[in-house]
Formats: sequence, structure tokens, C-alpha cells
Amino acid sequence: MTTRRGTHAVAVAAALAAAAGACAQGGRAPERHEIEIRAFVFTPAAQAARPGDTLVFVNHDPVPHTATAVDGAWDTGAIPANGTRAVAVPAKGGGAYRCAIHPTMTGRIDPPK
Amino acid sequence: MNRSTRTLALAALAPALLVAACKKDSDANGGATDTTAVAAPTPAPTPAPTDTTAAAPSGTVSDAQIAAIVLAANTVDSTAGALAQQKSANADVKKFGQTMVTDHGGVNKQAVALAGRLNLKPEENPTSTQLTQGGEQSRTQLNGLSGAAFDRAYIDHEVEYHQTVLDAIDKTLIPNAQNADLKALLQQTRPAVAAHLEMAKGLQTKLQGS
Repeated sequence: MTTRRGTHAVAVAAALAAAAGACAQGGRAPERHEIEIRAFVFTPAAQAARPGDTLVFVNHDPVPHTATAVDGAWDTGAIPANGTRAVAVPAKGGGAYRCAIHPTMTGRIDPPK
Repeated sequence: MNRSTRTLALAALAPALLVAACKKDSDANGGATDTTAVAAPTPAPTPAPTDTTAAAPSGTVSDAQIAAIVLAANTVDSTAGALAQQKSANADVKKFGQTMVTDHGGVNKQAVALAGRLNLKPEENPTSTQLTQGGEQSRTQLNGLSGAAFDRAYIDHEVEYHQTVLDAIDKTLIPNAQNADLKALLQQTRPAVAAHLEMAKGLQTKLQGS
């Protein structure tokens, strides 16, 4: 019984999260956007994404990087060499970001036009 | 001779040592003209231990020698970064030192793994030896400094060192690498060195203004 109640709770929570995401997206399903890090460059340098979308950073370099919002709203943390990290676009949007380790690397998350 | 004068004297001596090394290589290569000699480093506001910048390789180098140069270059700068972490009180300089330790350590890890896969035994050569010895001399000189003087000397050195390594990658290491994977590693490493150079230049400017 406890297990069933727990299962129901998880299902309800997931449904609520999905509904909240859908609301933030204006009814559309969240999207996944892959941003590659290669040769100390984020590609694409400017990615269109909505709040609730997932940004997946793929690091092809031999050294760790981060993708860190300039305003501090989001941060992947260290993305190891040849590693991957995902982060959700917050409600107020992604904005400008950079690598906290190598500040010469910059990118932007913009709302879709 | 005070420290600054001595350091500048070392810097002035370095190109001469390099020319001698180049001539030896050139003779061994049938007298082919070597165009990869490194120019004397640009004078910096605070004289830095610049002797390691004399170590740009010249002429033809084998893959085994390139592997040894890559390992030496990364080890020297990683060690200097560790010293900066230990000695500097400046948060930016400490962070830069940490990045050098992490990045050059990461590249060396990949280089060692690649050498193992290729069954390539790194072969010490005049350039790798100069890099290692120059790194030891720089460490000794930096150890004698403290505070802002240390920070400026370390960052000045980092600017010159990364510029020299970048030139070596472009003019000698990538063109001479025979194995495709080794060439790819060098090409992958180049942006890291270029980014480090820009970061060091930014810090150099910041320190000059402080």
C-alpha cells in the first residue's frame, strides 16, 4: 500500500512537473538542444531556447570546461574532458554565459524569434 | 648584477643558445635553413624568468621527440601553476595557476594514453631537455620572489611561455607530426594554449593597472 502510494506520488509529481514545463513553454513540449564545445568554442555560439528546454553541453576538448550564466542563474558545473552535462533553461531565460575556467569562451541562450 | 639585470641577461642569452642549437640541427639536416628560430621575447614591464622561452624546437623532429616535447612543455607549466597556487595571494593569479595545473595535466594525461596506444616511447631531445631545465631555472627564480613581484613575474613568464609554445606548435610540432592521432592531439591542444595566452595577457594588463 505504501509502495502504491509512493508510486502514485511520483507519478503525480512528474505530471505536475510536465504540466508546469508545458505552461512555461506555452503548451509545447520542452526541447533538447545540444551545444558542442570544441577547440575552446561553444557551437552554436547563440542557441535559441525557451524556459524549460534542456541544454546539453558536449565537451570534445582534452580539458574541463563549464557553461555558467553570467548572471549566475544557471551553471553546468565542471564538464570533464569528453564529458556531457545537461541543464534546464530557467524561467527568466538563459542569457549570456561563459566558461568559468576559460572566460574567453562565451555563448548566448536567446528566446526564439 | 641585480635580479632584473640577471634575468634580462638570461633572456638576451637565450636566442644565442637557440641559434647554436638550430645550427646543429641544420647541419644534421644537410644545412637546410631553419626558419623556426624564436625571436627574442618582447620586453615585459616586470622582467620575468624568460629562459624557458628559448626552447622552441626547430628543424625536423620525430614523433617520439614530439611526444617528449609535449610532455615536457605541459609538465613545466603545470609545475609553475602549482607554484603560483602555493605562493600567490592574488585570487586571479591563484585561479590561473589552478587552470594551468588542470589543463596541462589533462593534456598530458591524453598524451601519455596516446603514446601508450601507439607504442610510442617519448624520446628526450635538446628541446625537451631545454624545456625541463628552463622550467627548473624559472621555478628557482620565481621562488625568490614574493607578493606583487611574484605575480607579475609569473604572469609575464606565462605570456611569453605560451606564445613560444604556440609558435612551436604551429611552425614545428604540427608540421612535423607524422602520426595522424598525434597531429590531432596537437591540433586539439593548440586552442588551449591560445586561450591560456589570452587569459595571461588579460591578467598581465590587470596586474599592470593594480
